[in-house]
Amino acid sequence: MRTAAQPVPEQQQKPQLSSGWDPSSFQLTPAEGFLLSRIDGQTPLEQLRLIGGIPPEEVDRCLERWVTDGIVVFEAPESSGDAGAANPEVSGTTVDVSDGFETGTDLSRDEQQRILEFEASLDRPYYALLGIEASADTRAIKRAYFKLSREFHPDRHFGRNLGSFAPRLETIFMKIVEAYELLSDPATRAEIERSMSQAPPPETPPEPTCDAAGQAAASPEPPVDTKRAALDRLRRHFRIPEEVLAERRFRAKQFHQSAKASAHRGNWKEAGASIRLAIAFDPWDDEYKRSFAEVQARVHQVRATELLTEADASLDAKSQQDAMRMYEEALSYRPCDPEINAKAASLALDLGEFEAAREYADAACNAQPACAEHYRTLGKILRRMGLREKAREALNQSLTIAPGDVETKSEMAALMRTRSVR
Amino acid sequence: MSRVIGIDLGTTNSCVSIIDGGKPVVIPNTGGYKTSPSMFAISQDGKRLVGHLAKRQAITNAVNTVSSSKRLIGRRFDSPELKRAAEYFPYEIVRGENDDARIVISEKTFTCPEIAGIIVREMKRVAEEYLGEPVSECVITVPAYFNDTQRQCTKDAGRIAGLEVLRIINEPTAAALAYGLGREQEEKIAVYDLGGGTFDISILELGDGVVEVLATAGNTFLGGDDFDRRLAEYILHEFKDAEGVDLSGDLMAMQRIKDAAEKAKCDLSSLNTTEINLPFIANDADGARHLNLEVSRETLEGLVVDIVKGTLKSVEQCVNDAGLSPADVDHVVLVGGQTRMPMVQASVSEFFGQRPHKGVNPDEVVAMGAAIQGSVLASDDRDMLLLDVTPFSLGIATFDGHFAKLIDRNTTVPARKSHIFTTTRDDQSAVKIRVLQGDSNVATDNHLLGEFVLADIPQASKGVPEVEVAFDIDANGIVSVSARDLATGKEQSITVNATGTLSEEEIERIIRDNESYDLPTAGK
Repeated sequence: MRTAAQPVPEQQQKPQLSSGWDPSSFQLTPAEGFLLSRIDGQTPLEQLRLIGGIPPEEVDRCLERWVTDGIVVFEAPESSGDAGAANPEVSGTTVDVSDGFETGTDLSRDEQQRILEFEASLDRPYYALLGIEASADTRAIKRAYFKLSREFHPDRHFGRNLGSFAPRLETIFMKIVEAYELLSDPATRAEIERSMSQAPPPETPPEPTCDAAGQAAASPEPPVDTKRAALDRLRRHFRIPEEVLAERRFRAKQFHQSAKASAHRGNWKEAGASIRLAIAFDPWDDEYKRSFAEVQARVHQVRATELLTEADASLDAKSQQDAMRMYEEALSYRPCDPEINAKAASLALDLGEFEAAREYADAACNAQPACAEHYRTLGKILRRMGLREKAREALNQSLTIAPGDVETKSEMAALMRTRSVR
Repeated sequence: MSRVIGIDLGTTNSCVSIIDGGKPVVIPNTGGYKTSPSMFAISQDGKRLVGHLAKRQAITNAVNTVSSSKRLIGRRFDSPELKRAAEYFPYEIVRGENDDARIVISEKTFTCPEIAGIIVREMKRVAEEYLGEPVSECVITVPAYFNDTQRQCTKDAGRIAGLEVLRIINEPTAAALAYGLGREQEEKIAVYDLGGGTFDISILELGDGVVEVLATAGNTFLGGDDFDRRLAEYILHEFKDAEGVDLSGDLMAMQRIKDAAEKAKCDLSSLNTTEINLPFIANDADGARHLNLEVSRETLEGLVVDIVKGTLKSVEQCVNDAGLSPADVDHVVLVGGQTRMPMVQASVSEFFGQRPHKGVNPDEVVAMGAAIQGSVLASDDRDMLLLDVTPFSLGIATFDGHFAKLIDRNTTVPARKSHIFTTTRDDQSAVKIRVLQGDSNVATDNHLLGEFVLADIPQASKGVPEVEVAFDIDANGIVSVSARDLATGKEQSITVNATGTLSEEEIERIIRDNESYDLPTAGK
């Protein structure tokens, strides 16, 4: 899915789980697990984006990753939008255009057929529309544009009786111009490629208060220029119906309630998972995001504490390397925690990793400046690094806080001795 | 099926062409000339004269001879351009019913489309005489920078002449079509068109039988006429210095000087100096006075250097609009008689860093392109396709006097764009949509194409109603605008009928009037 050559999967395409993958070998968040459980080969992408429990663009990212990982496969699209973007024709099946034919025009049935088919497949990605490869250079884009113009420009049929085909031709030609203009401008082309290889960016919620697009206030705001508008159209590929939105908001509220309950019981992890789902269902509610931040902090604290306990156990088992790794992980959750930093500093000192040790010790001192022990550790580390002056400063600081500390005094004495030897 | 003629309706000269054996052929008039002066006169004895016949008697009948009327067509009587022209033209210009400019000769008032129609009719007659069959359809060219009103007026001229105008196309575009016919390679060309009264520059891309306009710019009030005028003023000044006589009030002398200036200007394109000899230019108490003056190419260049340099500003803008640099242009095509001037050629060469293409006749290529477009539209043999653009931005006026563009200039047509607007007062029940053409951010600086009102908007607070305004330009360049209240679905639309054009009744009256005149043959 990373290569630009592949078009955005059609909304009606149904992803399915590929046979023979091992679920246990993948790290999935609860939300991702929920999404994965909804993939049954029956539900089209359009639906999954709505019911996946996470924002549509997140669904796209997950699916993209899983396709790359070989967990999920897409069946071939049903009609247009053949993955072979190079094919300008409607691939395989013929679009049912039988209704569109008109008698009494000057167009032959073949001409009508061609116009109706092309019109029915205007929603194809721009590359497919122009019938070019994603790697096509400017010349090739221009050639394709000229070729299609020769076929569909209204002037080709000037003076003939076209009936309903006159507006059809205009629509087709304007779409061709749009594709050509967007693809021949490097900036918009890059944007198109990005949105093809990723997913359409998030939608603005269609609530009246946020309906920014429409309110041009008669109108000091200049109208969106052509390219902008076309890109917006690209993004509005998927519009969520209001009833679905209401349903999603309701679900989000439920998850938020259960998150609160879990938090009350002190089960922060569970609370975090629930609130993540709430946000997935209603990514536009700031309250959920605030709650999530709170819960997240608690979850991290819990995890860090767990890790510290594990690290102590590892130390008892004489596995200093394991303990070090756990301190580091714990610090990724609570980077400023003085206790973890102090422990990590001492252990790193023992392991001879002075640079790292110094960093941890510095962090501990900063977080807890009134603790003599942290300065003593720092002093020890600095002495080993040969930074005598700095070591003396740190030890002095420690002695200022706790003047009687025997260990610090002996460390200071050792520092002085090295000097006298020299 | 009758054939479609292509007409280059120029400021000073007009030209007609037709496709014959797959190639455009320029049709000579009865006198054997391939172009005819765009002039119309009523002689002392009340006869109507066109073309060479009109030009030949212009000196003795200046007040009743109309020339360069293209500079007036579609312009408001109060516009500064018109005021400038009126100072220089010997004939009388009056205000018309629609604030348009009308021309009075021999105590009869003519609208500008009517004059243009008389000239188009003459070109039609030239073609019919050559073909030996009646002609009913045509393509007429206009400067790329003509606005909607000017185009509409030109279309009316075609109707007055008894022709159906299949399409109005831009002169530089027509030149590109003629240049591109039969050329296989893909290339980008610049068409620099300095005619008698207008200047256009267009950048186009050719390939696979398609001519795509990338950008266009220009000035509809700058051309060879201005060169003539500068030279005439110089002659006048020199004569006054030498003889102490001011000839500016003497119509016949002025007309002779104007003619001599035009001729001297042309001579100086190939000669380094030329002599102006106008014997008996004035008579006074001291007897007859003669005008004898030697003019050098240098003198002429000094008089017009600012005009020539001024065109390069438009060229630069156009190249920028096309997203190109001068070096990206493969060929430069010069169109219009004024491009014969060596200084013009040198300036253009310098700008593009290459010598202009020599393969086309600058006086005839535009008519040939019009004929090509005519055959493209009317026959099944459609070898070429023209992808044209709108020369001006289109939009509407906002409540605070700004111009909200909906369609940018140089947008390929047909095109459709829409935007949603809202009300600015509580319970506002109607919005007035003023459709403008132009590129200024200030609404009133742009050309008003028309206006209409969308009424019966349901009561609501300001900012709540949503009114979608949609612009539609079809391949013929006809603009239609619609406004729709998204809440009620109520819709109002207009096909923009440019202000300052003739009403249907007026056109019909003119057609009837003109049927009674059998114009004498032009030429020798």
